[in-house]
Amino acid sequence: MIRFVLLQNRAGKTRLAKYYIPLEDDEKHKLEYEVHRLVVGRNPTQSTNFAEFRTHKVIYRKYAGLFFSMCCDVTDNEFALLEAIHLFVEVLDHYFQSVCELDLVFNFHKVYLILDEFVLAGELQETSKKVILERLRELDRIET
Amino acid sequence: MAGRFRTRLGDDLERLIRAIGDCKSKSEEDRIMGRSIDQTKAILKDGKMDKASVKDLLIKLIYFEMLGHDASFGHFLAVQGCGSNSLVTKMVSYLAVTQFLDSSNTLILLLVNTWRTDLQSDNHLIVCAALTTICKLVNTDAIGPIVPQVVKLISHPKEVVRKKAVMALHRFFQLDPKSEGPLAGVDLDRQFRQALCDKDPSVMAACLCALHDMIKMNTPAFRNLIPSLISILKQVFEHRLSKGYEYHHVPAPFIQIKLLKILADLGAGDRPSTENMRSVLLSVLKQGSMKNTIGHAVLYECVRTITTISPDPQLLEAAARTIAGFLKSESSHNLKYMGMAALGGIVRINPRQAQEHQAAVMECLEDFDDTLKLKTLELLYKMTKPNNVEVVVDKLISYLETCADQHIKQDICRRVSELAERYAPDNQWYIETMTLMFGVAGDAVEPKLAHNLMRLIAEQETDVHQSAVAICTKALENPKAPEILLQVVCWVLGEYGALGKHLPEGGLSPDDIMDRLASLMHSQDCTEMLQGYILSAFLKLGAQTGVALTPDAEELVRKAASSKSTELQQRALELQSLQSMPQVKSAVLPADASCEDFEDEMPTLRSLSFLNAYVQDALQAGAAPYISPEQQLEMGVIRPTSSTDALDAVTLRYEAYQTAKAPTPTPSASANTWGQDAGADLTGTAPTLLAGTSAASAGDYEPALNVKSRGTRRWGPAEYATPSSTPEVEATPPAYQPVEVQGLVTDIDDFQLGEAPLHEPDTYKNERDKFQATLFGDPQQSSRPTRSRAQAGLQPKTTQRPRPQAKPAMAAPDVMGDLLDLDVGAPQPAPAAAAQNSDPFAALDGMDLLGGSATATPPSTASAGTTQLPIDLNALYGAQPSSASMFDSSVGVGPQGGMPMGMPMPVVMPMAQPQPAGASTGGLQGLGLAMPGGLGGVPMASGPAAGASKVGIQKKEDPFKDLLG
Repeated sequence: MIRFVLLQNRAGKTRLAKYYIPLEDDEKHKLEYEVHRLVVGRNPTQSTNFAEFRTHKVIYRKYAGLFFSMCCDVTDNEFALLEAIHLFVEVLDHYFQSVCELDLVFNFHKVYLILDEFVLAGELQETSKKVILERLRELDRIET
Repeated sequence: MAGRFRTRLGDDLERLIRAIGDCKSKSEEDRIMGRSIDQTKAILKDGKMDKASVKDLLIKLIYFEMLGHDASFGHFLAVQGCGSNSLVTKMVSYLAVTQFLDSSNTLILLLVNTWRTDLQSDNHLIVCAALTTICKLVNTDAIGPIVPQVVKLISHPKEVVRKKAVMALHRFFQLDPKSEGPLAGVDLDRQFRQALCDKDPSVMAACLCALHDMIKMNTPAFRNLIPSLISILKQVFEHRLSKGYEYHHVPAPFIQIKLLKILADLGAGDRPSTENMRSVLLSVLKQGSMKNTIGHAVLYECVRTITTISPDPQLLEAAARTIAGFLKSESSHNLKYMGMAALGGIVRINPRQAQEHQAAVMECLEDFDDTLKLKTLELLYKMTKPNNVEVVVDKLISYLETCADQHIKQDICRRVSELAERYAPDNQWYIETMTLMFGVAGDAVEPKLAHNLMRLIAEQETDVHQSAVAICTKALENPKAPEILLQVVCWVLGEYGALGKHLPEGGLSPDDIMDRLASLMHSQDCTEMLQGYILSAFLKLGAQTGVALTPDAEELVRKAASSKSTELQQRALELQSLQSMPQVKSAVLPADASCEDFEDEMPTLRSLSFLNAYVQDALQAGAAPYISPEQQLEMGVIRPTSSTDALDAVTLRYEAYQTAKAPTPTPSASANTWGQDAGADLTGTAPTLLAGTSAASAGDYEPALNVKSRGTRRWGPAEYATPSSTPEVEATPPAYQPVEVQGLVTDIDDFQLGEAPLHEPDTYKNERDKFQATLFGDPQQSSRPTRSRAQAGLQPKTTQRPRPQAKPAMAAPDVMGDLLDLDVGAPQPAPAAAAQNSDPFAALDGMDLLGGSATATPPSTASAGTTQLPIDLNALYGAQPSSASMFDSSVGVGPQGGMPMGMPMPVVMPMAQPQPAGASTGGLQGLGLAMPGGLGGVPMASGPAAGASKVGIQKKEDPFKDLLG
């Protein structure tokens, strides 16, 4: 099960934080801080994309200056989640038409919506890019 | 580029985000945020908001929270917004509540009604938004009112709704896994099986998550799903799903992985299932691509499945080839990591695999990356054998030195102590290793491990004691020794310090030891707990050797006697009073008595008959006789406590209250009065009103009724968009006829009997058990009789506690070489071992036999476990009083010595009451430990520092609980 999904930039600013387990606010901030330190401190060429984190695992991937991290159980398939991150980024890229950090900054609420279509209750709910994008278009139609 | 989307935000928020983005410092950011939060509060207070501004406001609140500021003042606005008529507001509000709240929040209760309405909406967008929120926020209280509607949505025409409904049901199941609470009566099993046959792949995929959880709970009941799952898996990798599910040219990899995970759980320990899966798993491996990460992910999952299910030579061979492929990768750390992980799975079944990849293993062990190193250590741990334990433990401990993470340290400490306990070549090594580990990672070691060590030392002969003293004295020289190590040191020196003078490398007189301990106590960071240990050590040293306290120690004891800690005070005062009675002292604390057996005296002690006189006295003095809880219950003094009653009373009801019955104009007294009050014209309207309300209330209950009447469910054919798949899948639904399930289950059970110890379901919890099974199934092991500690000439003095047997190391001239021979010049790595391993599967076959004779297996097996438990209880009681005669003396001593902190004896307590037992035995336990906290209240008192050394803290609480019932 995915415990949380974090999107942070190199400086540690949180661009998105979604928790699938109940946590206190203080605990969340601490987690964000710790995960940021963990992923930034790793050597990009000589490291795996996985790190032990407390009693769980953090799977992370870096895109330009942004770190996408997912925390999951130790029994989960690391590679599947690594690719799930990439799939999420592909969806973002498609939706925002070649995404950049500013898109995410100014449309953070959209990013939450997209994530909600992708991961629900800590499980990957939809793995077809096409289905997710169709659904997002449907949601966008409400606002216009 | 980003400009395209900025118009979607309110100007205000856009400005804020820009300002925050331009901030140079955290304080500046905080200032801007603070101002903005204040403005928002003002707007909220004002309350004048239109639709658009509510939306902007909510998004702004999400932004505040995301940046770590408190926006709880706006939470209620979000909850309110969920009930809004405007679709946009509703969607944003739902998004906001998922961000703001979690399932424990009280505001959830306010959402329940909104959910109930929205789940019935015609607009599927609203239904979806509600379901998304439910998945995140629902708690056990809220399930009840919404579950009928969610169940209904499983057959909604829109697939996205069905998918989310399945996810929501899955969430419900996680909250109430046994269907005892709000889910009672809901046939989740049936719902999920129906969803599995859904024609939409995403619904099916969502359902796999749910099924996986259910299968983990009750595997045999779902084995009849295997054919359906296999056929789905086949269709998936044969590209029968729509193109949309392809990811980097791999067909629906995430679905494949989920299916493989489920198959692993279903096939674990079940040979027929494994047979069924063989061809499909082989095809997955064959089709799998080594070109990209997602291909690796599928292959890795497949290897994991193969190593989890009942071992199959053909599959294992294919898996080994795949692993070799991972490990050959020169470039990617990720792949090496995966290789190590997969290897860790396979060595359990076939230890030879690791030898083939020894170069890779050693390389990963030296790698820069911590995660990889850790995974490799895990692999080493899994392949530990008596002949390589020293090397492995060495590696683990040297990693401990460099590791900073507390959780990882704890984990490694557990592993080290487990390996050391199981494979220790001799006790000297065991003690040395453990002290070393305590020294390196003292802060991360669980107290339990220290107590294990003390117990082990206590069970050994004098020569071991002596070497323990030598090791401990050395450990004392380290100025930065962690607390837990010092505790062990103090205990050992107290208990066996008398042996110090015979040490080969320069004797130590008791005075020397006392001085060293005293200087330890002088140090600043000597905790209260440690001081207690030191005081006990003084006492025991004095009692066993007959020497008086050194002046330094004397001084410390005096200080402790007036300490503000009652525990220390008591220890010190006892010490002082015993000091004046040398005979009593040596009787109470005989040398090396921490392991004595008190079996014989237990019955008398347990009846507490020694308290009879005391009780009599109290009764005569006018105290009320004791009434046991049972008697009280009989007499009606107390009521039986039932937790469920209380719960029922508290839970909220979501159904509308029954409409008050309008009094019918029948000839009853109340009707008459009503008629009189309201007048005749009102009575005339009553029947119609009544009819209206009853219709309304019937409407309220409609959902429930609907659910019940929906018996004629249409089981959709399990087909995908591609028509070619139809014939295959259509065969699947009948697979789950209840009757068939029954038959299948019994068959499976039969099969399991023979193989159970070998293949447990793959969860991390029983990873070690599996390791044990593999270990004992190893040809080297099975051919060699297991030698217990006794056979190794290290017989424990008591047979009370069957410990994991430490096996002597096999004669291994080059231990490193045995583990992994790195030397290029060396001809072949461990040829002997390889020869013995030449047919791993023959060895596997032999494992069943071995599993049958459970005596040789470590204590995790059932038989060992059961024998161990009662003995532990006995040992506990046995350990408390030293002997009956000692008891007499100590009872004499107590009052004479004028201990100010006498036992807190309840005035009237009959014999069956445990408190006096604990207190009094605590007292006689050698007055070394006569603390009010002796019952486990103060952890220090229950530590093995005092006489009762073989009782670990963790063992101590349970028996009392048991006694107290």
